[in-house]
Amino acid sequence: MNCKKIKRFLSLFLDGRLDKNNVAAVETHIEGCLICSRELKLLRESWDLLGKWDSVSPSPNFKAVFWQRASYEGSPLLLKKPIFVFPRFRPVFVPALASFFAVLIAGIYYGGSFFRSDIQRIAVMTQGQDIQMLKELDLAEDFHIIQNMRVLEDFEAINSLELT
Amino acid sequence: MLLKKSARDISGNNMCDYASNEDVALMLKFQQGDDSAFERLLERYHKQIINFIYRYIGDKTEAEDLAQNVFLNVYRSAKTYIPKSKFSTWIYVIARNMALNELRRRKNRRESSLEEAVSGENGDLPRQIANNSKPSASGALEKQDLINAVKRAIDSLPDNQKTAVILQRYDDFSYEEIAEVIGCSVSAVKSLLNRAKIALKEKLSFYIQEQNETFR
Repeated sequence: MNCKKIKRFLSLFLDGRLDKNNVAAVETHIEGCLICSRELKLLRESWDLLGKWDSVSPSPNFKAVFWQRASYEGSPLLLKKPIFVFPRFRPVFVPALASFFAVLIAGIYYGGSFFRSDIQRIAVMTQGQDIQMLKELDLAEDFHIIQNMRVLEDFEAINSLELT
Repeated sequence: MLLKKSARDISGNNMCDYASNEDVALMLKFQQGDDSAFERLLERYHKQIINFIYRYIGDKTEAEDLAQNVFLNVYRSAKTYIPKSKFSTWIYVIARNMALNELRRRKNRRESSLEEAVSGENGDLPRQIANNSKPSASGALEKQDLINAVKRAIDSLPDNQKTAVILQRYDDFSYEEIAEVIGCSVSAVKSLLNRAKIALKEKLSFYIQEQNETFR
C-alpha cells in the first residue's frame, strides 16, 4: 500500500474505525515510513490540541431565566381552538357532499314554502275564528236585550221593521 | 395480511425503538403534562447545548441566549412531538441550525461593516484587521495563544466539517450520530472528518512544534 492510500486511512485509524485488514496494513506501513509516521503524529497531536479550548460553565440563573421565558408563553399543551378549520376531503367524497348540500338547500327552500302556506292558512283560520268569536260576543252582549224583546216573537212586526 | 415495514433511521434503528430511549420517554412525559420531566431534560442538556453553540460562535453570552431559544423551541413542540430520532440528535439539530443562522447573520453584518472606512487624523483610513495568527511578541507560547489558534482553526472550517469536528471532539458523538445531525451518510462523515483533521493539522502544526519545543 502506498503513502497516498495510507494517508486516506489515517483519520479512521486514529478513530478506531478502520477494518482489521486495513489496520494491519497501516501499522506495517507506518513502521517503515517516516513521512506517514510523522503525518499520523501531527494528526494525533493537532486533534489533542483541540482539548485546550475549555468548555464554559452555564450561568447560575440559566434555568430560572428559561422558566421565566417559558411562563410568558403559557403551557404548550393547551390546544388553541381555530376560528375556522377548513376540512380536507378526499376527492371521492366531493360528489356525495355536493349532493348532500343540494338536497339540504332544496329541502330548506321547499320546506320553507310549505311552512309558509301553513302559516297563511293558520292566519286565515285564526282570523276567521276571531271574527266568528266576535260575532258570538256581539250576540252575547245583546242577549239580555234579545231576551226581553218579545217583539222578536211577532214575525209580522219584524217584517214591517225591515221594510222601513 | 401485509405487514408494513417499520421506518428505520440512518443507523438502522427502528423508529419505534426511540420510545424506549430515556430522554424520549421524558419528553413524552412532558407531553402528558409533567413539567418535572422537562426540567430533567433541561438539567441534562443545557451545558452541552450552550457549549456546542459557544464553539460555533465564540461568545458565551450569545451562546446562552441562543441555547435558551433552543430549549424554548423544544418546549413549544411538546404538543406535536413524535420521536423520530434520539432526543440528543434532535436537540443538536435545532442547536446547529440556530448557531448557523447566527453565523450567517454575523457574516452579513461583518461584510457591510468591513467596507466602512475608519475616520483618522489624515482622513478616512481603510479598516485594518490585526493578524493574530502568530503567538505574542514575548515568544512564550501562552495557553491563551493556543486557545485562540484552536478557535481560529475550527472557525475556518466549512460548516459541515466544523459540525463534525465539534460533535466528535467535544461531544463524543459517533459517526452515525454525526450523520443524523448533519443529515448525511456515514461515509460522508468519514470524508468530512478526514478533510477536517488534515486542515486542522496544517493550521496548528506551528503551535504543535512550538509546544513540543517548550516541553523539551
